[in-house]
Parts: sequence; C-alpha cells; structure tokens
Amino acid sequence: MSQIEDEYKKRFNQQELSNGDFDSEGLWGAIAEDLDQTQPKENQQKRRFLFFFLLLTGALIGTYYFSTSSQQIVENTVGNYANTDSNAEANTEANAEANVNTQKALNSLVLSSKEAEQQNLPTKTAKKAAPTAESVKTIHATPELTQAPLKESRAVKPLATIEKEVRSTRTNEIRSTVFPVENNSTKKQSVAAEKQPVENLNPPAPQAIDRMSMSLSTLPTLLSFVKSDADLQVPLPVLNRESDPLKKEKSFAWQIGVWGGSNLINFNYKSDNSPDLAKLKAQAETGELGISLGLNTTLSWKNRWLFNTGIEYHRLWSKFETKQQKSIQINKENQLLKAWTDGFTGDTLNRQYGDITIDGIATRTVVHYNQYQQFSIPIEIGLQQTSQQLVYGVTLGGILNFTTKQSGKTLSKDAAVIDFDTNNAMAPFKKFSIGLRVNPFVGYRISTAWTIKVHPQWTWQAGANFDDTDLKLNIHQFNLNLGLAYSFD
Amino acid sequence: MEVDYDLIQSCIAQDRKAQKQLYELLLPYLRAIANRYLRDTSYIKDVLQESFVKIFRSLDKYNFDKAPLKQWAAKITINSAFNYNKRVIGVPKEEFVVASHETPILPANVQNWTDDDLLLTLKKMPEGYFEVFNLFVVDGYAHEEIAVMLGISEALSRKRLSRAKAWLKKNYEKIDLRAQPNRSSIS
Repeated sequence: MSQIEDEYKKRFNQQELSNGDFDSEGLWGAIAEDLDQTQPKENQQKRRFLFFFLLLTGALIGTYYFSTSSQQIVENTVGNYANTDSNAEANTEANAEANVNTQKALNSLVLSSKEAEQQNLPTKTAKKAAPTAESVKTIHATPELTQAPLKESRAVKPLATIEKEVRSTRTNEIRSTVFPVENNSTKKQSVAAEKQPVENLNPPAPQAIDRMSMSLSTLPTLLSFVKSDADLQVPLPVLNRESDPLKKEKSFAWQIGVWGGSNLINFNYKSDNSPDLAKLKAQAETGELGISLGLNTTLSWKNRWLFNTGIEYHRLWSKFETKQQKSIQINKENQLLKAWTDGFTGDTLNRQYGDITIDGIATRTVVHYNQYQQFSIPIEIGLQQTSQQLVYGVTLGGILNFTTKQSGKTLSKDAAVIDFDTNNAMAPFKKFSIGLRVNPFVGYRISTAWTIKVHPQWTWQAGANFDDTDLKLNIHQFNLNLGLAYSFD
Repeated sequence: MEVDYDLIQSCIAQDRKAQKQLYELLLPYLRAIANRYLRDTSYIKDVLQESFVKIFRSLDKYNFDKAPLKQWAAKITINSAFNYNKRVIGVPKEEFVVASHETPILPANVQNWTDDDLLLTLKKMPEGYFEVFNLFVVDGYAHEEIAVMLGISEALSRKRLSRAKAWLKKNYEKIDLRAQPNRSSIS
C-alpha cells in the first residue's frame, strides 16, 4: 500500500465528526417526523393483506348468506304449516271445536308464512318447528284431523282455502308437509310455536303413526273418500328436490375449490439505451417448471356470471446460464525454446528447453437455478356455460402478488455475473405487484356437488425497477392446473 | 461506541427516547461516512435523514452476530450516499477531468495535507473508482462485499481498484510537482 493510501486509511477509517455547529437537533426533528408520519412499507403490506383477507371473508359470508336465506324461508313456512296441522290434531279431542281450531291453526300458518316473508324472520323459530330438512318432503295427516272434516263437510273448506292462501303467498317454495303426530297421552306438552293463535297447541312428538306422503293439493279430494285411518295410508312418491317445480331457483351459488399445477415463467426485458444488455439478460435466464397451489372460492350468479378469488402459492424456478470469456496467461513447462544446428550437416547440435507463458482465453460457463416464491390473491370476474355434465368458461381480472423470497444469479449492467436476493436491487420481482390474469377452464361434474376442473392460466406482472438502467421487465407466467371444486346448494 | 441489546430493543419498540440516544451515538460516525461518500456534501442532511429512517425501520432485521451495529448502519448510509450521487450527479460516461483552477495547492508531503484536501482529491476520482477505493482502502470491505453493494462483479471491483490506485498515483505526482514551486513561493 502506498503512502497516500496509508494516509487515507489512517485519517478516515473510523473517523467521527464532532457535531460542532451541525444542527443535530434539527435533523433529529426531521427524522422523528418521518418516523411518526409514514409507516414502514412492511406494515403497509400487512395492512393491505389484512384488508384483502377481510374482503375475502366478507365475500364468503355474503355468499353463504345468499345461498342459505331462501332455503330458510322455505323451511320456515313449511315448518309452521306442519306444526299447525299437528296442533289442530291435538284439538280434535273436542270434536265440536276441531274444525274451528283447525281453521284457526291453518289460518295462522298463512299468517306465519306471510310474517316470515315480510319480516324475513325465518330461522330459529322455523327450524324448531321443522325438525329436519328431510321432513319437509312429506305430508302427514292425522286420523283426528281427517275425521273432523268427515263429520262436517264444511271442514274440508278450510284446508282448501288454506292451500290456496298458502300457495298465493309463498307456496311456490313449500313442500307440503305434515309431521308425525303424537298419541293422545303425550299431548299436553308445552307449546313450541309461540305465535300460534290457537290455544292448547301441542308440539308434535317424535313417536308417530306411519308416514303417508301426499300432495297437499290432493288432500281435500282424498278426504272426501276416506272413512278410516287406514284409508289415509296411501303412499305417494316423494318429491324430487331437483325437479320440484315449486322450488325457487336460487340466483347465487357458492363454490370452493382446491387446485395444483405446474408453472413456467418467461422474462421479457426491454431497454431503449441498452438493447444488447436486455437481449443478453433475456437469453441468460429461461424459465423452468415450478409448482403452484391454490384455494379459491367462486360466487356464481344465475349459474353464468362468476366472481372468483382465493389465495395462491407459487414456487417459480429459472435457469441462469451464461458464458464468460476471460483473458488468461497459460504457463507451459519444458517447451523447446532454441535449437542449434550444424550448418553443414544439418544435424541438431543442441536444444534449449524452458517454461513459457502464452496468452489465452478462458471460457467459463456459469449455470445456476434461480428460485422465487410468491403468494397471490386473484380477483376475477368471468362467464361460464354448462352443457350437461360439462362446465366451461373463462375468468379474468387482476392479481395481487407478494414476492416473499427470491435468490439466484443475474447479469449486472456491466454484464457481469452477480448474486441477488430478496432485498437486492437487481432482483427481478417486485416485493409487491399487481398483475393481470386470464383463466380459462373446463370442468366435469362428477356429482351434483363435486366438479373436477382443468384450467390453464396466463399471468402478467411488471418486474422490478432497476435504478441504474432503463431496463424494463415483463414477467409472463403460464400455468396448467388441475382442481377439485365443491358446490354448495 | 457501545450499543447494548436493550437499547436496540427499545428502539424496535418505537421508544423515541431510545431512538434519539442511538441517533446521538451513531451521528458522528455516520456524518463522517456521508461526508466522505457524498460527492456533493450539501445533501448530507438529506442522506443522514434517509439513512436514520431506514436504520430505525429495519432495526428488527439487524443481526447482532453478523456485524457490529456501527458497521451495519454505515452500510446503509453508504448506500444512501450512492443513491444520492446517482440522483444528483448521475453516472458520468467519461472520467472526471481535474480542472486546473480546482487543483489544490498542496504541500509536497501528503502527511501535511488537511483532511479536506485529501477528500477533495479523492472526490475527483472518476465515478466507480471513487466508490471502490473508498470501500476497499478506507473502510476495509472485501471485493466480494463491494460487488454486492455496487451490483458489479468481483473482477470489476478489483479492476476498478487498481485503476483508482493508478489514477491516484498519477494525479498525486502531478499535484506534488505543482506543489513544489508554490510551497517555495510561500516560504
């Protein structure tokens, strides 16, 4: 080290400048203000993530609400009807009052169903009244109930009236049902249906007479012919939920899915000032197969329009390969340097050997596998078409990418091989970026709830900003994924 | 300068008093660093402000075992200074030419130069040489580290260092020769 270098090191290494007239308080004030005002980027990212997480949760809850509320209204209406009917049966101990009570009770059904509709109060009371969803499928009439109309022909009238009224209000959604009723010995139980106007109402007990299925619309006609309980034991086919014309078609449906697949990235560099460097960098790094995994949820409207979101994990790989040439000096030992020959005979008289150094060019090939790790949240809208068991369509939209890890080798602005990691300015991915996504899909319904899907994807995102060059990087990602989705009815 | 673990933890917990204490401990050293690495020292406050904000924000990532806090903070300040140099001056394509009127009149013996004279000479080095020389000779960074900090290869770092030394030698001789008559005239 020369004298001047020594002097530099001696003077400036570990040098400290006394504050003197330097305004250290003013500087501290500015620093404190900066620390107070702006939040660290990481916190901002966390907040963004939290925001989208809450958005996602809200979407799921909203979807769940929409998909279940109309079903609850159906249960509520039917449950009230069933309860009322069995309560009417309980009142047939006094035959004279039976018809009146039945009418009252059934009228209350209409009231309840209307209330349920108007007040949208559906759920808990209704669920209590309608013990299980399965019970919604059948009608049960009790002997007492059916005997009452036989004694007084006008007793048929309320049922028919009720039927009409119920149908006129909300019966499109009703599967006409009467529940099993209890024996007389268990009748004096507490009243479960709070809003029934009928006194002495008893809830139905689980022990019951044989079930009999029938359509509510056939009940009045049937009642005019029956003479005993046995006549009522006419089984009717259970209504098929899927094909029930009375069932209201739901507008919204909710689907969740899981998928996995393989990905391939492509780096596309552009530069106005250094096109050669852009070309060199693009040639040096080529995509390799990586893996992608994801969970997604899709809200469909009228089985046609889609809103899709979820969370994805991508493990991306690329191969960095470049050849570098370097001037080197090669030592060769024991080489012939000189030879002396006899001028007359031409014989070699003496030879001189020694080591020589020659200039050469060494070519070095650098091969390295770069790796990147991303978490993404897609927000897409789309369209789908259904043809028998086949579902196909496309979703497109934006994608929020969070790059959590990246490491490998790349070329610097001087085309030298350098290492990069997550925090390095030469790393190709931004820590956070917004991209675009196109996601066509084809699915096959293996059952009413389960669908297998194949969906290729194309995703675009802008690469990092390289401070000291005008390089621009576009990253394209291609995926081929296989997924399984479950639909909530 | 001793920085204890508790002080750092308090700073991470956003304790303003602790942060100010750390600021006061680091300021003299980081000021010297910024002063040396900045081409235009009028931006020294900006660089220090940016550096300290970065230091406080990323203090939770600082690893005690890897390097002393002072060295870690210095690295942040050096990077900030480089960024300012690029932003303010840009990256010159050609070497700086020492204008005759800017040439300091210096004593023949370098030991008699003031710190300012030495720094002024250093800052006249071409861009690239200046950083590598400063990092390697004065602050003792290895070529491997310099390569990462500057985003260049190790080979290029070595090349720039040897060129920086050659430049300094050449210019030092010029300055030295010019300094003789001046010195005699002064005396």
